[in-house]
Amino acid sequence: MRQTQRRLQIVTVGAVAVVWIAFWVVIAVESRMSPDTTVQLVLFSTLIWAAAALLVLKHWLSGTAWQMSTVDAPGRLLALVVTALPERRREWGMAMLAELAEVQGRPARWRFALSSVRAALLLPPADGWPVIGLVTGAVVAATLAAGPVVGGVMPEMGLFAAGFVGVFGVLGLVTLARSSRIGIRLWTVLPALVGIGAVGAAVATTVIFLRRDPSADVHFSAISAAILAAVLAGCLWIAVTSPEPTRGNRFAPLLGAGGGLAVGAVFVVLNQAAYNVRFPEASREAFGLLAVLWMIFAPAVALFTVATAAGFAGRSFGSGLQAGAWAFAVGTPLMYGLFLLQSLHMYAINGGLLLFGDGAPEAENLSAASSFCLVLAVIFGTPFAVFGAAAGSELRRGARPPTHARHSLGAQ
Amino acid sequence: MARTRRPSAQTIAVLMALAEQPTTWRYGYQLCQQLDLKPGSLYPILVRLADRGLLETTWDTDVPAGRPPRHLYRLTGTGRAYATEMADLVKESQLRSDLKMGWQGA
Repeated sequence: MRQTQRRLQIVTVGAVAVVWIAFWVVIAVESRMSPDTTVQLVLFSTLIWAAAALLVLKHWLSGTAWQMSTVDAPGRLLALVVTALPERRREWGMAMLAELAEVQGRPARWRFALSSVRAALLLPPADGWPVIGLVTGAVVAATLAAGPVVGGVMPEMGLFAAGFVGVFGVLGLVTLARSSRIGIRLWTVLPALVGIGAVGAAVATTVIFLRRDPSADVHFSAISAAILAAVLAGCLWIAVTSPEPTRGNRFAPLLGAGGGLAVGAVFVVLNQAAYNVRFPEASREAFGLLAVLWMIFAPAVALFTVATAAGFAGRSFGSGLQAGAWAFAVGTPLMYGLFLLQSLHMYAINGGLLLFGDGAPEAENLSAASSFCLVLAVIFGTPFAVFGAAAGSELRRGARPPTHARHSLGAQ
Repeated sequence: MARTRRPSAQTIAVLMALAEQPTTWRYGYQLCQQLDLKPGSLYPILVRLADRGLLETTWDTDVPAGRPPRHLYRLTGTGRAYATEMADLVKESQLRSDLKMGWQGA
């Protein structure tokens, strides 16, 4: 069992490394980045993402199915597949796993396990295959139509529209196939509205920016459009479907959305202070520096903080992850939209990139917003939600008195 | 019953096996052995029957130490009625087939 776990860890780290190498090579070619910088970015992103992925793997494998798996390979294989089943179908996977315990003889166990794996992978989806087929058709049609329709009105946004609809459609399809419980719950209405508003604001500010400065389209390359589409579609998916872990906490969405709003609000305050001519120049420079530091580090700090708090309050890793996801879904599009909006206002005052004032053309703010507010938040922010969730749940576990102590306290 | 489409031969076999002793709870592995079905075929059938309210399930926790609880299955009232309907249908089509064979042989 331990050996299989080790192999899974190696595969996980390997997969993370391959993804980041591919990503940074594409970015390096696109933006003519130096090989040294590329290597450093590959190493750093692989390191923190591998650590986060290993933590997720550890908590995933602590699920019941993996724990009840037998010592032989057929049992472990089936347990792995059962652990990945959607919640409402896991009971059936556990049933197959329990029956495997009754099967004697290695060849018979392999046959039973492999056939069960096939069954587990092909279990009918919650809403049935016809519904999935219809929705798949609708997603494909909407994706194919979005590009030409939006591109006809605004050519620069065509690729973004197709990517946004496609990624959101695929995420929605996966959710539909795994659970029939799609929909906003009562306690997620407010965070969902905030999240949807933040994504809408991000799209609207991009359109406004491109309309105001048509030369900005050179800073909205295919890769930039794809990154913006993927991030915003992911944020909208979180806001609309509000994915909820088994042991989630009702306050986690509120806490996360509150954290995301705070990130945006402080950014605006610091920005306004940095450009306020009533302040002395030294103060304005200090506020400007603080705003830059906030823009770079706040996503990671906010995600870590809300995930730790929710993990601690909800007594689970899942609650922490949920709060982190909400903070990301609200904070990331909000920061991006605010950056673009502020840059439009502030360019007249200081020129150049927002907060840097280096004489760069106004249009460059579009690629700067994408790099600082989207790419940085995704690559260096999201793993901190996992670290926070793990820290919060571990802190709570450490704060709880041991079982025998609780019994004796209860007896008093 | 929302669906009127005739189920597959394997589904009918599972229904008949469960209808033999309708009040008895059955294990999945037991059904596999009785019907010579692989779990890859049996479990999707059981899932569909349960989704349609024809099958009820429960967990058998009275198992030897160290063994996980086992899932048990039996037909619901609707499931029993459906199984009877299917049995009649099978008999009817068998009779029709026999008559056709007899007619062709005459």
